[in-house]
Amino acid sequence: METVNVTLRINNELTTLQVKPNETLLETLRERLDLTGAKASCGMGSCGACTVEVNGMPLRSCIALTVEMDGAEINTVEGLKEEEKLHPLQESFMEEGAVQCGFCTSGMIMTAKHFWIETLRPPRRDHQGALFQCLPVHRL
Amino acid sequence: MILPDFEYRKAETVADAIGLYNEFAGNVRYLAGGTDLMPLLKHRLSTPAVVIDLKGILDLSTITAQDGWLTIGANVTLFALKQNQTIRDYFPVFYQSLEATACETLQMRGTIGGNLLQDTRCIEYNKSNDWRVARGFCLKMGGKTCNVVPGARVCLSNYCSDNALALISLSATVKVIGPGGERAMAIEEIFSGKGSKPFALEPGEILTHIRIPMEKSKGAYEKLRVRKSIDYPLVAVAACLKEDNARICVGGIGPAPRVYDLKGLGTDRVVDASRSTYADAKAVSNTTLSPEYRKRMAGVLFRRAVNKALKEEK
Amino acid sequence: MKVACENARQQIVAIAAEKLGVPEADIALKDRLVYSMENPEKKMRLSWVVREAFARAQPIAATGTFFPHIDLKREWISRPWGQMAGTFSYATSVAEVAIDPETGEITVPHFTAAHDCGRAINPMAVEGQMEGSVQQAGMAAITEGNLWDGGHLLNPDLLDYKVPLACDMPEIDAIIVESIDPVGPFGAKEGGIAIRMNAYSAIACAVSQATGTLFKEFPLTPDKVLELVENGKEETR
Repeated sequence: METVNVTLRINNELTTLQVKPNETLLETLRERLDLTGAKASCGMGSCGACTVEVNGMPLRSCIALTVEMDGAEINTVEGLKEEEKLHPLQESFMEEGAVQCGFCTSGMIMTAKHFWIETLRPPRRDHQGALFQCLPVHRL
Repeated sequence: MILPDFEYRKAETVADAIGLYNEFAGNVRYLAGGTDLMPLLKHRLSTPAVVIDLKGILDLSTITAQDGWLTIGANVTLFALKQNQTIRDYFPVFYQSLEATACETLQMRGTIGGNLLQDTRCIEYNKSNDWRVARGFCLKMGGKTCNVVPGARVCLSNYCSDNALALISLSATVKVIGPGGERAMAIEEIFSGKGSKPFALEPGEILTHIRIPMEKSKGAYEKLRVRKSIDYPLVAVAACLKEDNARICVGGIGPAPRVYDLKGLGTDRVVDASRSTYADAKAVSNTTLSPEYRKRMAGVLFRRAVNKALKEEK
Repeated sequence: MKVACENARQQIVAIAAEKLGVPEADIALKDRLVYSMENPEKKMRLSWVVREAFARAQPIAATGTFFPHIDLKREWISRPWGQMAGTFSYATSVAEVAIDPETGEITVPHFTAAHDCGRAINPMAVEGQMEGSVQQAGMAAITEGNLWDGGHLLNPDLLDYKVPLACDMPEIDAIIVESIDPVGPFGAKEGGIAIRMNAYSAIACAVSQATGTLFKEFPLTPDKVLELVENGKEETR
């Protein structure tokens, strides 16, 4: 299988990688770049634990190929804080205790970020299509 | 789950994509948003040598209103369509079906072309390779028997696109381009009615545009599912009203949506037509709820969709 | 954690008592000082005690475990101890359900849960546990269930196995009823499990009352509920 060169801007840093065509963005982030905030869970785009932000939109990275992302701007939960200051969403997740084991929390934050910042509207209940188990949903 | 090996090519034009299709002798899959294709690949339900990415074809990423038609490129995402004011104003049934599709994150990724050409689904089919090997291959996987209805000769897997129903009720047409040239047809004609190969498209054909006649309509989309987000429809009904006529489309049961044209919207007519959906719905136990229930609900949602659309009219 | 701290304190007290020449029972710790209660002039800095312990190659380090006195046999008559906490914990769940008579779909507009958790050490976490219990027992009673075909699990994924979503959840009133348990750590019993034990019963009772009939199987998917609605009508006729 031939490899493909892709250039990504991840958390504001340009990275050029040689990837196999069948590598998902999630695999690239976790296994090549050690950005393990996005989690591998269902692998089918159902649960949302792998959500990262691509070109300003939340994306389920387990069903997206890295080769599709050439030139894209990608933000992961690791890039949310500014210097040592946490993102307000991270702060409020902490204040409200919106975690249980925390496995899927990064996916929730990256999904919530879209509703909270990008469109400046509060999340509507019917948009919360992410499947998150075992956590106090109402803390959101 | 790990993807199988394949090569990746990005097409810049439709001609490019078809050139690549010919170059690899048809052993390819076209990729748009990937929300349907990636799980199929991961499950080894499709093992192409090459995946051809269509997202680079910019011609297919536009929405234009011209000559009495709204023309939508197949690459437009469901999320972008939801933001379109014309769709909100003219085609409420379409707006509602877009809203009912999966969840918002997936709407941002999924394209309308990919949503229409999604594979049919069955609780015994959309499973991992290991699961299917243990269970035995069914008709849709090239096996000899159906795992849901023993002895069945045809596959009755469910076509689960929400938006196809809305577009059919809006009398939309589609344009496809393939190695054999270009053609246009009513959207309901893309269905073969066979679950094992649900689309009546020639090999290599690409759905490029959807065209909806620009007439203001009243409409409603009703979808039955266990959870209020994410889930595919267990049965769904799209109703589009124009003056005293209605075009109603029932889907989520069986491999092709079913269309009902009503002239006159008296209560008796609507109830009569809704009753005929019971016999028409070929439901088998290939989802999480019982087939008898889904058959019955087709009629209930039928009446609800029409009534909701009628109410809107007042 | 409480037990570990107590164990660490004991080590500090032992060294200080020896150094200050007073009995261990006379030692108190305050403001980074260790002193004799009887004669507060006898005192030393806590950091000295720690350094002394280090010099003796026995640094102040302690572990602690706590296991509640519970009845794993679940007999409870001759052994009146709870199963999760030494003292029985109590909870009440109140579910309000709405059933669509045509489709059998259940919605839960409002759910009230009250829980005697002993002392709520972290009230926010207790509420979180209660809400989680409403999701995983209450709403799950409507959606979650395994489907089998012979030995084959038909819904081994998050798409067909229906975990309730945020949008399916009711408004929840979580009421913490504190009682200070004499044997639990800081007076705590347990948080959330008691709600988990009865949230599904509340949903079941509400559905049973609404449909006027009894049933014997979970989950309460709309196809089954519609049957209940229709059976209920027949029974009242």
